[in-house]
Amino acid sequence: MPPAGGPSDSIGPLVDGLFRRVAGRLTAQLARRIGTRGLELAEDAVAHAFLQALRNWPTGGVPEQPEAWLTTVAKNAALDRLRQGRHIAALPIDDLLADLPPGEAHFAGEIADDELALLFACCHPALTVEQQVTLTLKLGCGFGVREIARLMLADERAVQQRLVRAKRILAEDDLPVSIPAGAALDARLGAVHQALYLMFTEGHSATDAPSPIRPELVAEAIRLAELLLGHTQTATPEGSALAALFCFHAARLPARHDAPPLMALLEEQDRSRWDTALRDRGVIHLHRSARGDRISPWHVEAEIAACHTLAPSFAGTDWQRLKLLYRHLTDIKPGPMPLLAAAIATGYADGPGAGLAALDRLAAGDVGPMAPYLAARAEFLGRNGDRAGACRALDEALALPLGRADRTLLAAKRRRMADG
Amino acid sequence: MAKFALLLHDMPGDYAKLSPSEIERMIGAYIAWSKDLAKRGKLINGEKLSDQGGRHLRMRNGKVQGSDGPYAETREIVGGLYLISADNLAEAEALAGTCPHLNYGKNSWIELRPIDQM
Repeated sequence: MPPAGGPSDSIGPLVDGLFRRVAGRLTAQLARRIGTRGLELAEDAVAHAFLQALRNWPTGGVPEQPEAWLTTVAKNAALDRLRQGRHIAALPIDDLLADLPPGEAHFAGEIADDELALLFACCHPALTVEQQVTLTLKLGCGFGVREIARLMLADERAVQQRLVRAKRILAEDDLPVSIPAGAALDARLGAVHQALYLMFTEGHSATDAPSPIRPELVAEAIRLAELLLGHTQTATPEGSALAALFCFHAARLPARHDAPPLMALLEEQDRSRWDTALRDRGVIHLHRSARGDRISPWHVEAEIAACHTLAPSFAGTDWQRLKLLYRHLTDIKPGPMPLLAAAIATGYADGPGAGLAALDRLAAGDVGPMAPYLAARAEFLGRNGDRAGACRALDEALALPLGRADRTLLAAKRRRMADG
Repeated sequence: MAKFALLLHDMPGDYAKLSPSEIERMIGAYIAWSKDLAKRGKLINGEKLSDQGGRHLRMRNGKVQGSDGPYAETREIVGGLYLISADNLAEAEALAGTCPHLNYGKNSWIELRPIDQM
């Protein structure tokens, strides 16, 4: 056995994912005390702490309180850099980090406030949504550039440039890293919700990726959405609706996991494999979203997701209600997908003939990407007994440029349709 | 049983771009490796050598003269060491060959030195 001070015998401290979590927390704590001009500095100091851990722990042993160790090293590194720095000389350096909690023993609420403040800084309206998400993943979630490139299907250099530009924009105005108050909060919160929504959709519906589901993104979007709900100022009905929407969609992911890149269609999914704990969390969030007098697109989308996720089977889905919900969504959220979804729901609610008529009513400019439209036509033509027509629609769809998962799916459908 | 020192050479600068998760996995691999050796009674100790602040001492004209070690992020250094026990050099080499240090960093290598026991 190694004597004391040798490589630690306890594997406890290295809980899977601990480092990423701690990176986000430490960056938030430092950034909130230094402001947006210090984002880069905070990031550097935190990176330094992790590198020191890598230099020390393998041979020196894991410290008894790894979080406290990392916190102290990061704090000292930040102080060193602040003392060397000229541009932030006006800050009261010696007192600045005095109240930084030492690590394990701290108030959870205070840390949540730090993380929320950083989230608002990352989702500042001066940035594009893409920049917001990238910066949030880097600073708030502790992902590395390579990981973000994989998660967002971008190349590393593009991610690096996006980060540099975003940080430069925020540093220009030296903004406080804080939770906005009063009237500003509403608008800023909308931007944060939008960024989280993009993060979530990137995570669960990228059809061109080798693996269409990236659970880390889904988990982080849910974590941050629930973090917002844990704070009185940022816990709004819209936020609850957004969290409900995430939970309902995420609950269905286990049934899609098994067969990448071929995503199991909703109709064919084994519903017993859906995550009931996430589904129940969705129900709670949805319940809490029914406050106030505003109905946001998140509300309608959450209701739609609930309708799908709570249905006992595909056939047993309340298609009449879905038809109305999708129609409602087309009123408040323009775009081709709600229009197409409304037509499809009409087909399942009122029969394939009604579905085809609804699809025909969509103007050419309305339908957006053609493949989903053609796939829906094929489905209703097939249900209406016109297999030849269905095959023609599928052939037309397969002639379009398609993602790998979509192509596999449509080709399989085409085979089934032709075989009878 | 003979004793052996595993001197871990590398360049600290090689790790600058790693993400927290990657670092966590690397540390986890080292810890798992050393725990496994300890369980088999093969690990004697591990020591971390500071990446900075080393001193070089020489006798010059009858006086001890010290100078700072030439350590920098871009220089190869011995960052740490393990002391292990093994029946012979061949076993020691086999054990050292499984150390995760060899998997990380472009400039990482292990110097295996038998410890003479007179």
